[in-house]
Amino acid sequence: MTDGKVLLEVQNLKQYFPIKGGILGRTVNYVRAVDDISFVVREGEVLSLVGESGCGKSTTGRSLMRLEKPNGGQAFFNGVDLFKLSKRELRNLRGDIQIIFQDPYASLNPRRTVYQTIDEAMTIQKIGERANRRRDVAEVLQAVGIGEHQMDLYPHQFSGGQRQRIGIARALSVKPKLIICDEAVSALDVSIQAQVLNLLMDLQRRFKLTYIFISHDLGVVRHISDKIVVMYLGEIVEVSDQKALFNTPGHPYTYTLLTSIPSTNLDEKKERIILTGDVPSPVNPPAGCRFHTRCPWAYERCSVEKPSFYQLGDAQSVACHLLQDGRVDFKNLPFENKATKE
Amino acid sequence: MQETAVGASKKPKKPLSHRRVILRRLYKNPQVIVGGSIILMFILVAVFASFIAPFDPYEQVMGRRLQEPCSEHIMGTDWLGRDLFSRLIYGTRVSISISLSATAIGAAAGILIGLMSGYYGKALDTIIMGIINIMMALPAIILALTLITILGTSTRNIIIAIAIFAIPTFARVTRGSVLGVKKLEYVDAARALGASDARIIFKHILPNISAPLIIQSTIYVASAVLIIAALSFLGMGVQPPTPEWGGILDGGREFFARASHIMIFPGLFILFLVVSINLLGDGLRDALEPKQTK
Repeated sequence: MTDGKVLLEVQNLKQYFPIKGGILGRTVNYVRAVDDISFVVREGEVLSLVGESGCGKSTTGRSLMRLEKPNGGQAFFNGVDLFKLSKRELRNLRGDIQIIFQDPYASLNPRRTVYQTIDEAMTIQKIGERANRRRDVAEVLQAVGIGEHQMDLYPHQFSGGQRQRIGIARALSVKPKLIICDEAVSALDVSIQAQVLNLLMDLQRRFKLTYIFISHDLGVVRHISDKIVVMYLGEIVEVSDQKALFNTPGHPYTYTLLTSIPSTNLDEKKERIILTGDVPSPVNPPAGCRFHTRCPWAYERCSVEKPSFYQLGDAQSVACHLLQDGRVDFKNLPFENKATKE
Repeated sequence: MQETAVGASKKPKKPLSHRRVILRRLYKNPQVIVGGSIILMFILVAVFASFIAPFDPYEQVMGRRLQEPCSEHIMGTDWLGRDLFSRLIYGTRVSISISLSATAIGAAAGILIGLMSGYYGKALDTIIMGIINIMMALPAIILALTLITILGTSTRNIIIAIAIFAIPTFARVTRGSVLGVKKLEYVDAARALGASDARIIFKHILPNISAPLIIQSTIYVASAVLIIAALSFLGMGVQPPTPEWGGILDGGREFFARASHIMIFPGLFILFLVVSINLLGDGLRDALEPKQTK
């Protein structure tokens, strides 16, 4: 799957949010939500961005959608830099990249019927003929499992899962190539989650879509991804194939994350590593490796020098000094830090 | 609607639309019924004033000056022998037309300013809200008096003065609501689709902040009625001989000891209209923003 053509290439993306202070409302500092990240998305693959809340994964999605104005970097979509487009060029290109939001209760305008919502999307992006609009809308709705007879209902007349399907239909209606799913199933019940996930995978195959799937739920990510990007405090710590990541996590952070997935096997004794302390503030991120304040295996070098990416096998690339210093088997090393095993 | 036991009815009931839910809340509220019917009565009186009034409101009969209410003049006569009831009926027309048009103009301008300020934010917002706050610091009547002194007294200028005073309140209410709604994901979704600012503002934001604006408009009509009366009372409003409640009230002051009815009846008219508008406003608030009450 990973040998497709490069669809999106993100280079050194930076997204800072100013903190205003003082009487004159000057910018006193920045929240470094996304700090210099680069990754590649290939056609037809599902790339997941994972990490705990506040690590910048949603912000990355919003910057790529140009819902925020990025502070630096480039994002080449089919060779065109998304961050350098004029207003008109951007409007034309928006049909190619769509987003599905987390909260199905906030993502639909409560005053517009399903038909009006999707009709608007198609009108703005000039999809199809006006005369065939009702038929086209019905077709898109059918693809997500919403019946034609429900077309003229308002959002409050649907359940959360149905609303999420309508949100997917809105994104789908403009025939995008890339869809950013921003925690698209996190707000749904587990049973509905599975349905919507299967729908997303179904649509991907049917319409040859590429997904950037943003989630904090590793179980979901494991199910859907081809490639996984692990983020911590605005930076990428590991980029890996789905298989490699779950079998041989390269970065200590990825490893501790994986040990936290609950097991359904009662006999299996699983060791969980509980990290102590909070995620440091993205206003003043720690020097060196940003994870060193919580990493169980951190040593002197980690707090001084920023690790560069280390190639682990051919499918994994990890930003960690442990690996560069030849301690790939860090899992068996004693803790240098106050983290606990359970 | 009857309660049906689970599974008793095979046909699924069509859920009530948002509009029907609100209408239901409205006509079940006694405040709305009482306030609404009094207002409706006033509006009918204003429209059909020429049919209802028993006398010409301008006709002066010196022989029947300062008459107490009697069978012929049910509210008595004023200091120039004009029928008070007829004058108050025509005065309704003045109060209602000026208050409604001034509110409409002021609300439209205020809402537009609030939408811009809230949506675009940054320097524009800072400047607009600075001006709005200065305007809000001035008392209504002083501001209106100053404007009319500058512009001169005429119905048009009274409307302008009252409309200008409406702008800050509406701009503020609108801006606050815009800030709440523009963060929502459906606004982001519209932007992600390439919708223009105008489309986002008027199709996605404005319809979703209409509730507080409708309530605010209703309440402002009541204050407009009071400002109109106050201006005439101070001699800066609708000029005599045009019948206007505040003007009649002012003229009756001199004769209060002998003919108190000249002040009592216009006072009652003002009271009833203002109270009923406020009742309706409260009822609308209960129906449109149920979460914010109690």
